[in-house]
Amino acid sequence: MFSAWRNKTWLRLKAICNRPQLDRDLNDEVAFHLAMREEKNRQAGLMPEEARYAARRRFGNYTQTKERSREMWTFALAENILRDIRFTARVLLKNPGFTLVAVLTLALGIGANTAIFTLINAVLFRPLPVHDPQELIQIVRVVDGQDQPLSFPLFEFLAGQMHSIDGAFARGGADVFVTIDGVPQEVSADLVSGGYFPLLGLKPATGRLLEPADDAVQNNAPVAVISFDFWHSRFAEAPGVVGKTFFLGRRLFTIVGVAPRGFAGVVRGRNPDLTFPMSMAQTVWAVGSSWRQEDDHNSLDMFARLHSGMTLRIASADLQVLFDAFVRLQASRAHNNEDRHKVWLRGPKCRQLQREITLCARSILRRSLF
Amino acid sequence: MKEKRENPRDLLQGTLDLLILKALVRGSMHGYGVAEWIHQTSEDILKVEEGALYPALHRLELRGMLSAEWGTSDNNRRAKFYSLTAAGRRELAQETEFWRRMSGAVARILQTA
Repeated sequence: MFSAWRNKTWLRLKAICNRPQLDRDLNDEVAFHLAMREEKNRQAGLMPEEARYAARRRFGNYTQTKERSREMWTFALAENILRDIRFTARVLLKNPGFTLVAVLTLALGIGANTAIFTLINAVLFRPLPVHDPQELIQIVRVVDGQDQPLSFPLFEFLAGQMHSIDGAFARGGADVFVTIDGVPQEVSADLVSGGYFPLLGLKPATGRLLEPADDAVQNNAPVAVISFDFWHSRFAEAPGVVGKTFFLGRRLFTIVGVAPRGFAGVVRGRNPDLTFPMSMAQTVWAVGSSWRQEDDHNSLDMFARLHSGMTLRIASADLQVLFDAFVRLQASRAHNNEDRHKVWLRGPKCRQLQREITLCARSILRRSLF
Repeated sequence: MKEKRENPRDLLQGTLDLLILKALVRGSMHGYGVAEWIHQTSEDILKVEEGALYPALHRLELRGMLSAEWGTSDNNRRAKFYSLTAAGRRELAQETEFWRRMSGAVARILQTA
């Protein structure tokens, strides 16, 4: 039963894939028959002309024959397809075990592929919606095998001295209470140094993004940029959001713009609602003004854009030299604190942001699959 | 796959199929050969419309009862040769049995008059 169906399908597929050959074969077959019959008629004593007509008469409707055959050979009739579907359904119903296994296999296969593709699409194909993400690197301190953030003095030193980079920025996080239109709510916030938006190469969805000038004026630039998602969820994408004010503690802040759609900060899984200039750290973090001088206030993630043509290896070597210089400098400034420095200033490391995210995604995949 | 016999046309169709299968029992043949064999064997009583032979041959081929191959005829022409498959032989046995009983029944009925 099945072999008959397979035979039929295979012959038909061959016929469909080679229509001209099919037509030629049908023609040849009929022509051969007519020629044979004509020959026989002539041998029986008929005139050539008469022999040909007699052969045709005896054959019947020449065109109809070919049409019927051609129809048979192709899937021209929907009926044929329906019959095949019915047959398939019958076979599947007859073998419920096989059907169950087949359906489950397909369902799991499709489901798993969809899930994996969704994950890969999110973390591998669209890792960072910024300008040239492959040039971005993160610089961390490695303490006991763990990546640790940096202090402001170290960030400032490295940002000013590294030759292998085109610029650097720092970013710290905070969860804060703000009061918008009289309604208090907790939001996630990022504090960023002046180079943040320019170095990422982002364009605002509306208004403007933070500029180096916002970070330069200490405590005098109470401005913030909101994320596209926050604009959408809290303000229904109203264009009037630019210029809107809100309270953080006792200070009044002004929203100056909205970050582009799809941009969720540089720390994966964080998506800050508000982004403040680092000059606002005292208010946002509620810390004293001396935090910028404290080399044990390790709260910043440092990012940089590699100078074109520079590799991670060159940047790492550059970083190691500067880091050693920084340690010596700090040690000479605070003689009595030399031991302390040895504890928290360990080898630095730079890593490519996109590659890190890719590696991270790979380990997640490996863990979830095996 | 036993096909239903619902109307007289199906009956005729079935008859033609049986004749074709029978014609091919002794080896492969082209369509013209099958037509000639039917004429000669039935002593020209069964007037098969020769054009109808080919759709029947193709249908049997599609059902896997016949296999076909292009070859060269006695007078050096390109011709399609049909031969019986194992399924075709089984079908022929079944159909022959059916016809025996059928014609026997008809004959008995006709004798009782």
